[in-house]
Amino acid sequence: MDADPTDQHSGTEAGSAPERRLGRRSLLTGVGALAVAAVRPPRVTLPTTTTTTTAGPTTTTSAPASTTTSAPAPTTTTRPPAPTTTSTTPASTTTTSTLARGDAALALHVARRCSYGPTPDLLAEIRAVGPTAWIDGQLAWTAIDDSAADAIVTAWPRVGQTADQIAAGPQPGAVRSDLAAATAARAVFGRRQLHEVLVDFWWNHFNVDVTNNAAGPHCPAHDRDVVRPLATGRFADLLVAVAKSPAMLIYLDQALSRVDHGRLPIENYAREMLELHTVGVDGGYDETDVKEVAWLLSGWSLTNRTGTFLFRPEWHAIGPLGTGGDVLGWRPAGLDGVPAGESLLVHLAHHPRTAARLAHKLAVRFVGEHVRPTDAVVTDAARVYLANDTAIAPTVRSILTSTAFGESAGRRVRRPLEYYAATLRALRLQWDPARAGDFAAFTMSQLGQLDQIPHAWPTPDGYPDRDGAWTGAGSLVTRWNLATRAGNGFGLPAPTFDPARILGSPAPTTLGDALDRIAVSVLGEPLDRTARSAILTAIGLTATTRWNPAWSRSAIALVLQSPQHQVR
Amino acid sequence: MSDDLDLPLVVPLTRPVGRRGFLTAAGLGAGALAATAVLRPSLLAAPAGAATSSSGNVLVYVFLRGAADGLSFLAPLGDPTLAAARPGVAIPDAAALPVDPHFGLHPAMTRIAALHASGRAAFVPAAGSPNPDRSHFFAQAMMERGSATDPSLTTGWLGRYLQATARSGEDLLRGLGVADGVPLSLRGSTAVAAPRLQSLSLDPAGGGVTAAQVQSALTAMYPAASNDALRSGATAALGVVRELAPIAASSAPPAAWTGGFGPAVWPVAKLIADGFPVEIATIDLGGWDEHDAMGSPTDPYANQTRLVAGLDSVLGMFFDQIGAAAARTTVIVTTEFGRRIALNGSGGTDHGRGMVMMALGAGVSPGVHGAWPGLVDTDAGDVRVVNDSRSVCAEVLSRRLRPVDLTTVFPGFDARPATWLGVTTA
Repeated sequence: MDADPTDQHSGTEAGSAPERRLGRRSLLTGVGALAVAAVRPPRVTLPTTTTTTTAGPTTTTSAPASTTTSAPAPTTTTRPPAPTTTSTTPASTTTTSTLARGDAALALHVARRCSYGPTPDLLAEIRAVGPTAWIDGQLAWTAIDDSAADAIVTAWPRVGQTADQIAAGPQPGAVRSDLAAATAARAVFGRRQLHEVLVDFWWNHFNVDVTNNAAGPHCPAHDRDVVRPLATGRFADLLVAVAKSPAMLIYLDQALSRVDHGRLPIENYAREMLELHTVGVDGGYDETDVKEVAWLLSGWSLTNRTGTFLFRPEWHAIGPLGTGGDVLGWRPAGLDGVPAGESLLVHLAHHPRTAARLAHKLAVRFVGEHVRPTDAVVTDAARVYLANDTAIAPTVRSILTSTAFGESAGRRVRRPLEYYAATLRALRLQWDPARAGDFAAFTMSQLGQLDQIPHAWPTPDGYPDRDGAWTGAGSLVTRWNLATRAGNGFGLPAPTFDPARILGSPAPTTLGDALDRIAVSVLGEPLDRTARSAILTAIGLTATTRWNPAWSRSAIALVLQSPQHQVR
Repeated sequence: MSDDLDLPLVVPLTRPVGRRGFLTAAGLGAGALAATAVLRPSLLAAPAGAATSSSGNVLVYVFLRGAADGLSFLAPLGDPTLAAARPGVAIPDAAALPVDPHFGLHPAMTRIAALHASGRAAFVPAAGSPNPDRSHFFAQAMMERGSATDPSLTTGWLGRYLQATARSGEDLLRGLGVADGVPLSLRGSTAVAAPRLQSLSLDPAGGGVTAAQVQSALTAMYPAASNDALRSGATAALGVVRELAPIAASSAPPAAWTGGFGPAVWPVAKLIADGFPVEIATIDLGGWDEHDAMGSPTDPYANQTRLVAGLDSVLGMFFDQIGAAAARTTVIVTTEFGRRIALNGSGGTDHGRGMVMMALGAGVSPGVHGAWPGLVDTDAGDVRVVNDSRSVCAEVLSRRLRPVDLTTVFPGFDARPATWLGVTTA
């Protein structure tokens, strides 16, 4: 049960009558509509006509054309300067400023969901090109220069090595912290932010545990050669590549599955592939299907413990499927060996149950736990997935340009990796190559306490994507204490960050002014009124108290402890 | 095994019990630890008489994640089918620790055998859910829901018990899950979740801002949080921080508890030993999905032996640690389902059906309970499920804890006393 299908959070989004009037179709399209949907309390007058007409080509069901890397929609110029429009809005200047606020809220929402945390630069970037164009640019990640992050991760050599090299080198177990540090560093410093979010999604969808002694040395190659390059490509390709990835073959025991000498195949990978990777537990298969798939895949193995994929015909037999029967509509049709297994995997990737399940899982990730499998955001995404030959980028784009996405701001809780990376991003930590080891140690220690060391979830279902799984008492206290440490610069793996950059210049004059500036810088928006007064009351001062720069670090810590830093 | 493929013998799915950790946990007695206990005066003064606690009795629900192999816990003695199906892996009669004329324990289960000898260990083989699904995640969730049929239940059986029996002013620690988030079994209640006790105290914010001021700021901030899980989690967190402040200095596990299963069990052992009013606690112990190379029960370094010994050791340490509270504490050990009778091609076992449950500690009727279908009449090669796991849970709950309507706890299941298996003493 990866995602609880029966969630009690009901989708009660207040207000938003104007959006409803627009109807779903038009909202799915353009930037402006999204902006409208995301703005909540201040009712925004809708630039109705302009938005719909400037909308770029959304991925519709009938367009398998843009399968590759998400055609950048020609909407970049878009942002109509909020003309006139209807209703009771006062002057056009006011309208513009309201829209500007709306843009800021939407940019923040997009940044929280599609990146590891907003920074002033990132928010400016999203506002400059508009959210849809920014999303399209992020989905076309190969065109983004990320050489700075690429250079950073070379600090951890095992990330670039083969399993053979790691196993033969010193401290093969250090692959765990190397890979965790590189992942955290890309989250904090990388520019391909949405790609990084999707890499995390697929790592967990196809979970492998790097702490498994045998699978661990294969994890960098799994990360580098399988998950990263294919994270926005065709799911069918990803599924097949994972099935042949030594990390997975070892982790789910497939590499040892053999049927010679009267042995029975190991069912572990076959079962999890059906249950977790493709159609899902209610996908319509039974125990017989599991056994049939296990037979079909017998002999999918390795050259050796630290080697590469090898099909061993002497360990293989097609099993019961050779004499009839089918698995979810697939029959061998004369195939056997690797081509038969590949054909089954490709069939399952295109199965409507897989489409529905992946669409729902992605929607839960990007929109929220309140999304039901029957919601339009899910059924639309599933349709896009199938119409585009299982391509991931247009599927994700469909979700990120949906009404449901626009209405979901602030509804999800950051998981620990997201919280950790967002904290370091909020502080605008500078990379220091001399302290790469400290960065790895700090990452392992903090994420260890928060129980989300990357790639270290033991079971094949991946880290849970449920808010309630990460809001236990212990988890929250650990987060608050991390905010304290980070705000004060304790143990930060960098030259201590400079609070003056966050407070801006000229220096604030009052405590209230300082808190407001800190909030806009680290949270991307003003502190809400309750949190602001909670801080002031707790420390026994008022907003008008003269600001003392010596308070900078603790004030930053207190702002980082607010609920607004916990949500995405 | 594969001779031309030098693959490891150990490919556990879940966090491995490291060899060193196992040796640490198994090799050190825990007797010295009891001295560190800090007893709460309030509870010493009124251990059982307080109006909010009917009995002070405790139930600890230990879930072995990954489908623990029942036949490696409790094996039928003199059964030729078992020996033939599992050459080299079946518990040999000669090595088994007998707990019944017909059943014996894994030779590494010395502490559990000792509990049995003192009348404090009950075993139920061929246990499980009527639901035949062999998916780990589905079966675990159904087990935690306490339902065989309704995957849409969002609450767990222990959560419903806690909720149905809650009184005003109930202590925050009454329900405790050793986990990052509230486990499904406890959902539906106000139970608290934390993976370790050390993560339950706040640091000062620096610059002269004290921990108390931080706590005060957080207490005022979080009621306004926009996310339900965040809001309720924060309320619980801040309450527990306050309650545990007195033991903050001694909350880290001592050395003997730092390996293997120790860290997962320590928080419960510590709180019960120190007199905190925990009534229901859940503990997850992973690593049981032994699809290959289980090894011989008489080989102390075999994978399955290390797991079994680690479990045995930590349960023994738990009862040592809680001292006198053992007289009011009952432990249920369960898993999601058992494993296939026959080995697969790699010396491991695939997902099966009937499992072994254990009830240990206070109020237990020692011995083997329930029906035993044998290993010939199987469920597609698996031990048949003939003893509903909910019968065990319902019986322990009814006999040991507060009165509750069992139809609320186990909807759709007949949990009347007539269906019980006799794992407790009347």
